[in-house]
Amino acid sequence: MKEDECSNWFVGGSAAALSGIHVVQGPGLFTGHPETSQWQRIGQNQATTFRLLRDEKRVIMSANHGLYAWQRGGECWQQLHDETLTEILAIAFIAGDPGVVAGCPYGVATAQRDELGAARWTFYSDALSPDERFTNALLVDPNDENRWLAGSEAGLLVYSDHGTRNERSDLFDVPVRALYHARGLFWAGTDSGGIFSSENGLEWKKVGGDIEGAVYDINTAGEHFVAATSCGLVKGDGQGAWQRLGPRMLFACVAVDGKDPQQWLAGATPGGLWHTEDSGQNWRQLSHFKHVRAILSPEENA
Amino acid sequence: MDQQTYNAEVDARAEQILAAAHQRGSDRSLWGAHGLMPHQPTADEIVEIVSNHLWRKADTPASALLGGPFEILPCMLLLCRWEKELPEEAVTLIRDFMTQAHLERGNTENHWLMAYGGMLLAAERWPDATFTWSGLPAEAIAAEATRWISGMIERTALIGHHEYDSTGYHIEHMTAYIGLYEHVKSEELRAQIDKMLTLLTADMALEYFNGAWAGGHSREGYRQNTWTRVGPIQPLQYLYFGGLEFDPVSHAQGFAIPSVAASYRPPALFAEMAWDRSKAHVVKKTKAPRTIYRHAREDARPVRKYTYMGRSFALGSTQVGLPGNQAAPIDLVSWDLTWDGANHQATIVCNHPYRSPDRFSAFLNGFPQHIGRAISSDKPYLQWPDRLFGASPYERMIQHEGALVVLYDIPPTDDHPFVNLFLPNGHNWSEKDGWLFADLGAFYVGLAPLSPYEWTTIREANNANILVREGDLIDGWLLRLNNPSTGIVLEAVEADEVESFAAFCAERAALAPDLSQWPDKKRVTVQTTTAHVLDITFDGAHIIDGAPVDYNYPLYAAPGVDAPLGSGKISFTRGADRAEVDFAIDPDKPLLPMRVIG
Repeated sequence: MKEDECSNWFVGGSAAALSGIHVVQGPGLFTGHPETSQWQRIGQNQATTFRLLRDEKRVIMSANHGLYAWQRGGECWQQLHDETLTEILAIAFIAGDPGVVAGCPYGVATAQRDELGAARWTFYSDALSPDERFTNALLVDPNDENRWLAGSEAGLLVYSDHGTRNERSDLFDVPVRALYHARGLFWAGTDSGGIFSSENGLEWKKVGGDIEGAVYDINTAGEHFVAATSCGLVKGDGQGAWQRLGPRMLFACVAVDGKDPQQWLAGATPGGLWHTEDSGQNWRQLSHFKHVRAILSPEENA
Repeated sequence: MDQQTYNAEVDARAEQILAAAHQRGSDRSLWGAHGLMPHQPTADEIVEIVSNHLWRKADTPASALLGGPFEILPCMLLLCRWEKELPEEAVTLIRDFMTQAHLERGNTENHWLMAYGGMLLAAERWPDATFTWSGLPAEAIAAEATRWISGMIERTALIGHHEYDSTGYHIEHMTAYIGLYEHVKSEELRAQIDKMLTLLTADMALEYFNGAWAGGHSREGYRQNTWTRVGPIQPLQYLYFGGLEFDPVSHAQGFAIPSVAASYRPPALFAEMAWDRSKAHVVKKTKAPRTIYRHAREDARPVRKYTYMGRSFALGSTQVGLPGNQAAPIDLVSWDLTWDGANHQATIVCNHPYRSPDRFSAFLNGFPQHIGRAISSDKPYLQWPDRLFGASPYERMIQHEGALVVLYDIPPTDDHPFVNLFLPNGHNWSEKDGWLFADLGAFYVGLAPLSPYEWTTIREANNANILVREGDLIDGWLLRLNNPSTGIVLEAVEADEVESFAAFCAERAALAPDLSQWPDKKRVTVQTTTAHVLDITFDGAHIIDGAPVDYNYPLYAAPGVDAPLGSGKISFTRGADRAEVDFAIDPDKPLLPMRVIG
């Protein structure tokens, strides 16, 4: 990728109904625009994407079998995983190199480079139960980079002191799959009961009433929140009732164009990629994808 | 038998297998091509094999390919063994694939072993190459692979093999380690691999029963666990243990061919152990805990296997150590009775066909809300009510020699609140007082279902899109135990140890299981015809002859085997012959964490 593609959308997904090591060509991270629905794979990486991050230098892709970094303007991916990190479901930026905290079924971990330049990972969750270790979502506290909120299969845990301590929040005994920070609050999506918010990450209250199904992703679109659930998308103001939108399927992610908040892309698995230009009133399915798990909207200042 | 004589016999069988692979045309794959190379194939033939396997008919540059363990290892083994004979175009294809394709590790132990094994060989061979799938230098790729392979070897030596005793996947472990043993440059790693191969061969030998692998298995799925001899491990069983009439179909399967062509030879005593039916004995094994990473509040416990190796039959069972009600590995087989006979006619096994979608998300990372349908789209038979393999969270068992009690306490709300019992249909069964009996020639078996059952048939076929004409996958009686609180009691005895079949039936039927506390207090007590008492409480005490069963098994326990758990020091002795391995593991070094499923 010679030119920076961050002015376009990024979509992590698969054009095939199945993916993995038994197919000759698999999924990957694609870039393109919904108007043309022409999608170009970024580099040769064909990993099954779970999460995406972007900063001024890199795009980070967490995937089924590894964690990868793409230097913007570069030509190839570099692996960030080692023999202890796989199935990376959650990532967030922290300081340092590689500068990522990762969550996976085996827990929460950070890395340092060794003398050969390889990232070597240290886990902070080994003493926890399997469900507490299984980390679906991560969020770094914007006020304390060493404090991480982790949405686990057991509930929401708060890691502090760079992972060396952890404690349970009162949002527990329910899987937490989505974390978000907006309007000075933390927001969490769960498997049952809908969306919760918190000022400190430890005490949570339900917002906007019940939501049918599990919540996998939360985003903001102008004055509204929009969330991807197992029964479609929902929109709300964070206080009143949630309004269901669009086709009814398992949406794993939803991204909003920062320059045009009425324009969203939503990814379903299975179901592919869906586009709306009017905040969810009308939807059309875009070609190419069968499964989509991660989307990044165009960089606002690109 | 001395090692030299044994090696010569293995050499002869290797030639036989390779010749069969060549004659049958199964040498036209990356795995099988080791059987083709001695026959001077043309350059075009070799290039076609390499291209077909790695590119799989896709018309793309290497950089557009996705490669997994089943490409990574065999292409590197072919290159390493036959580099001087391969045409340059084939070498270039392999190099392009290994450096430019997107390579993935997969998610099981055999996947990672094959991937890391092939990546290590490639990184050693092309130290200055750019491996675009990684972006790291070859030295870093080799270091990562070495750490993982060494770590798995140390785990196996201390706490037991993870993907243990799999008739389907043991061959991938053996072929990867044998390939590394022959081609890896690190002498230190090679020495550890040599010891690992001793353990993996011992695993094959200790429960070997006339071509079958008796007892419990981490993975024996794909609807073949009622077969007499199962899986792609058969070529290596034949190669190392001999003793059977050569079968060019089952003994020349592709995954084994790189190992068959290799010069590695295990200690000769394992072949004698494998075939020694002179005296009944018990084999105990400890294996690593299953990977259950979700729907569980505690980690799985170690696996404990108990297999009674009789003269005419083998009966094996497993304490699976699974945590929670969703922990149920999909192709685990916890117990079976095995003997020598025609296919479909020499195994008895039963299973609760547990079906919750949570069983998949307990060890796969897909969304629990979707994963049931996702997995069953790829492998529909994993959800079928007739399934005879796969763990159930509602199964418990106790065994003493040839006697076994298996209990099921299934919630009535379960999708399949019943148990499937497979019986071979080529024998004459008799019934007395609730017991079913069969005279199997050299031994007799009696079994008592602990609830009413429906006697029906099961026939499943590979080619069953319209009509099941031949039950080539499964063919036998299916007894459906239609009760959520059920189980079986089974006892097998050697024919020459009792007066007659009729006498055994009479004695066995007279000793009715004590069900006075079943299912209310979940306890069953059974007296055997050999005057032992098995007493099991579901999720409670296991007692034999009044004493609690001690499941703290060593790594291996069998005649002539000394293998304390956690020591990394194991010896196998037979007469004057001895195979001894000391992995020299620092006891203070933490184990490499297990990051694969199985």
